[in-house]
Parts: sequence; C-alpha cells; structure tokens
Amino acid sequence: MTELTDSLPVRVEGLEINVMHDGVVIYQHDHKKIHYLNHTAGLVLELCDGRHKVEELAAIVAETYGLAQSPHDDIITCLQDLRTKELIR
Amino acid sequence: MLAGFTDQGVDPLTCSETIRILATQFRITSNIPELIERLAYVTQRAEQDLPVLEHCEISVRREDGEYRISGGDGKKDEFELSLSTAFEAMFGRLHDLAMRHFADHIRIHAASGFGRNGMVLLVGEKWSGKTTTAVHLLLEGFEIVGDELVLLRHGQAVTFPRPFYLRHSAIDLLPKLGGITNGAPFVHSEATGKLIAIDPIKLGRHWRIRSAPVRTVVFLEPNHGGTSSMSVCSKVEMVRRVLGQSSAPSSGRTDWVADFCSTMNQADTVIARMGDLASATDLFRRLLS
Repeated sequence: MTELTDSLPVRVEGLEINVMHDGVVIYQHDHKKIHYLNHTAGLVLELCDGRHKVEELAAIVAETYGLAQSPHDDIITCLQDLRTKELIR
Repeated sequence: MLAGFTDQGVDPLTCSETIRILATQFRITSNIPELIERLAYVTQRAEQDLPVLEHCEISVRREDGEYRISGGDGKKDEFELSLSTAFEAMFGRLHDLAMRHFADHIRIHAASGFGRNGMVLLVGEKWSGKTTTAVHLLLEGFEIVGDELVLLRHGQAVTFPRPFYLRHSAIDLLPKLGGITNGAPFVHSEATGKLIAIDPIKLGRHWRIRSAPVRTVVFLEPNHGGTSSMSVCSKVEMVRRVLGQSSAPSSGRTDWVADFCSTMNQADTVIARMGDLASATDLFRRLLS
C-alpha cells in the first residue's frame, strides 16, 4: 500500500476508453481484452497520467462527487484493481 | 457423338436458380435438378432494400462420382462426395461471398425486427427462446425480420436474411402457426433436434430486410413456467451481455468496440424475463409502440 501511496500511477498505452451513461467500457487493443468499470474507477483511470499521487487523486474524486471525507482507502483499492487488470503501472 | 464424350460423360448444366443475399446476387447453375429443388426449398424470398454490389456465378456439378463446387472471385474449387455435403459447401460459399461486403460489420447473434422508427434486437444465450419469441411476435403482428444474425456498423444494423428455424418442440407454444408447419422444410442435427424453417411470407407477413439505426436492445432470459416481465438494463451491463453474443468485424477494424458502445448508449436497453408468451406480447407492444 505504501508503494501505491507514494507512486505516480500511469495508464498503460493502447487503451480505448468508452464512456457510457452508467459506467465505462475499456478496450485494451494489445490484448483484445474488455474491462467494465464504474464511473469513479473510470475517472481514476483517466487521472492516472503519471502526475497525480494518491492523495491528489482522492482530493479530485472527493471534489467531483462532493464527498465530505477523502476516499483515500477506496482510491488505493481502486488502483490495486486497475493494476491487477493491467490498466495502470 | 462428339469425340471424347461418352454416354457417361459430363452432363450439360441443366438448371439454375437465382438467390439474393444482401448486396450479392447469385446465379447458381447445376446439372443436379435435385440440388436446385432443394435450394428453392430452403432459401429465403425476403425483399431486400440494399443496392446489389456484385453478381456472382456459382456452379455445382456432378462429375465422375463427385461433386465440384466452383465460382466466386478468389475461391478455389471444392470437391465433395455426397449431395448433402456438396449442398452444405455451396451454402457456406454463398454465405462467405455475401459476407465479404460486410467485413467491417460486427456480427451479433440476435433476432431482429422494427419498432419505434428503428431496429429492435432480441439477444440471448442459447436456448433463451429467441426464435420462439421472434415467431410469436411475428404472429402477433410485429415486424420481425430475422432470428439469427444482425450486422452492425456505425449504429446501423441490417439483418442477415434466412428463414426462421424454429425448434419442433416449440410448435405447441405457438398455436397461431396452425398447420403452416405441416410439410414445411426442416433440418435436423444432433445438437438442436428438428428445426422447422418458417418463412414470414407464408405467414402472410411482409418480409423486408433493410438497414436502420438500432433503437432497442432486449436481452432475453428464460423464465419458464412464470409470467413475463421487463426491466431496464444498464448500458454497461448490456454491452457485457451482448458482446458475449457477438463477433468482431472480420476486417480487423479497430474502432468496433467504440462503435458497439455508442450503439448501446443510444438504444433503450431492456432485460425481458420470458415466461408465458401471452403476457410478453403486451410488454413488447408497450416497448415498441
């Protein structure tokens, strides 16, 4: 977790991000794989440009969704999931 | 008698049939009258509002105890040892040649029809009742045009024309079919059992294949023995479900998932739990009117 907290996560190349009314469909061209994300995970993925640390991602998500508390732990879980899916590094 | 020909020599091509499949007009010639009769028996007669882009000559000849299938640009001759396998090979060739003009299209395994100024797709897993539902709706006056394959590109869909193949066991569920299935063409296989070929024209319906935007996507779930119901399905969930019943364009077009997602985003997406067909009729009438 510490490793993720201090990292600057970045999306892998070759992702096609399709924003739907109720979520996001990601097509990974290289692997011909399709992933289904909710809007929050889709937003986190879009923000993974190598310039935002976890704290900053949490702040942006909190502001976007009007959250009173920082969703720090949820962002960590989300990043772990995105990494497992090989969508970020 | 001409030199080189004997009484057992090559017969002239004696009969022919013309078939339209989407943008291709086929002329099939054969020295086997039985093959042409069989062809007329199982092919569709749908009106097709697409421009003819290609005329194609196919021949099937019996020669020296085997069957030669030839014709179609870039296609090698094929040889078969029985009329049945020759017929299948010829049909496969027609399908391949017709599909060459739709290489950029996503293939969706779905029944299809028209409603709300566009196309409605009925998608579902195997045994979900797509054909039974399609034939039922056809009998109830809906404009249903296919039970098997839809081709999609840039939000526009077109139905691959073929007769509806209804499981023999489903006939009892569709009393309005009356005696139409008596003597109707059928195919039989280990996997599916007996399938009756249903021609919408013989049911008194206007059968017109045309391209149209996809307005409604219905995913069928069986609810045998229960009543039918419908609920809205999320777009992402519908993408996941329908992609499982779809194939990427054979051309390798890379933007096909975006195309697919855009189509689902713009359509009404509904899950139909299919119980009794009578209650389903009203639900579909409300959905598509």
